[in-house]
Amino acid sequence: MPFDAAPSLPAVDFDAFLASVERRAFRMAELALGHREDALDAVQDAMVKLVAYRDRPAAEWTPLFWSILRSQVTDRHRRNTVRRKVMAVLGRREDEAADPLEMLPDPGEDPARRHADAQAWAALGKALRQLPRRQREAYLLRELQGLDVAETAAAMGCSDGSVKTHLSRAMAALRTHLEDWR
Amino acid sequence: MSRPDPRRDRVHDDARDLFERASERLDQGAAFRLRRARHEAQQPRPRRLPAFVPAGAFAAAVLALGLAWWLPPAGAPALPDTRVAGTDPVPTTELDALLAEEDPEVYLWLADAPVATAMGPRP
Repeated sequence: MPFDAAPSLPAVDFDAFLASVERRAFRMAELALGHREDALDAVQDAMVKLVAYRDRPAAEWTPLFWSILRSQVTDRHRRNTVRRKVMAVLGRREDEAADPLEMLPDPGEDPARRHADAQAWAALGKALRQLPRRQREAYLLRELQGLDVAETAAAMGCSDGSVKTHLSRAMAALRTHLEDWR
Repeated sequence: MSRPDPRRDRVHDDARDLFERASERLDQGAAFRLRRARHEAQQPRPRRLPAFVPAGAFAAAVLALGLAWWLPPAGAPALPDTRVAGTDPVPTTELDALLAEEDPEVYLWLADAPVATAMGPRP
């Protein structure tokens, strides 16, 4: 059963709510899109759109935010797919230069551990991006974000049963894709 | 009831742990960008007019210009309506033609003829 890592009690203050989800939202978008800048843009746009709902009860912010972010990720994923096809037709290759700040070593961390984590992160992202979209969304929201089934269903716009089905298939597929982890 | 697959749990537990570490240890560049995005998202934005407002204003301006061109100016005196209710006005050309066909001698004779009154004929 997935753990509940997301805040169980919604933040009353809107800024505090965004602050509590922004890092996890970025990491989720990064895993789904495989592109750091796209992920940052997706989170920023999701925040802007959520502001329109800030007068709603605070309990609604969580499913609304993940629903908006999921939609942002889906839109970008489609655009990137088209862009890659166009680039392939034109015979060009997209250069994804890493952010220099991202490459700065953390002085308090073991470099070997950091390297292993970076490799594992890349493998997890690659495996997730090979999943069908709905399975990927269910895994990211339910398993990694720690939303409960009802919140995941609200964010995905489907029933609880569909969430369980997508999640079960995603976990089975990832178990195969991530064999190398063990 | 089947026993849970221990390998499955370990893989997904590893994925959760990795996700947690990645979220906690965000690089400074991304953390800064996210903070800035959060603050900018909450700034009041200039209210944009809906797209139909400029179009409506343009249509209203065109209508006003059309009315101003079509209607007579407010200071001009209105012409009196000389038409008799229930009758169509006779065109001027037709009236002239009718008068031209009349004999003017008849009207001269009529002016000189005696007029009958209660006191007798008036010369």
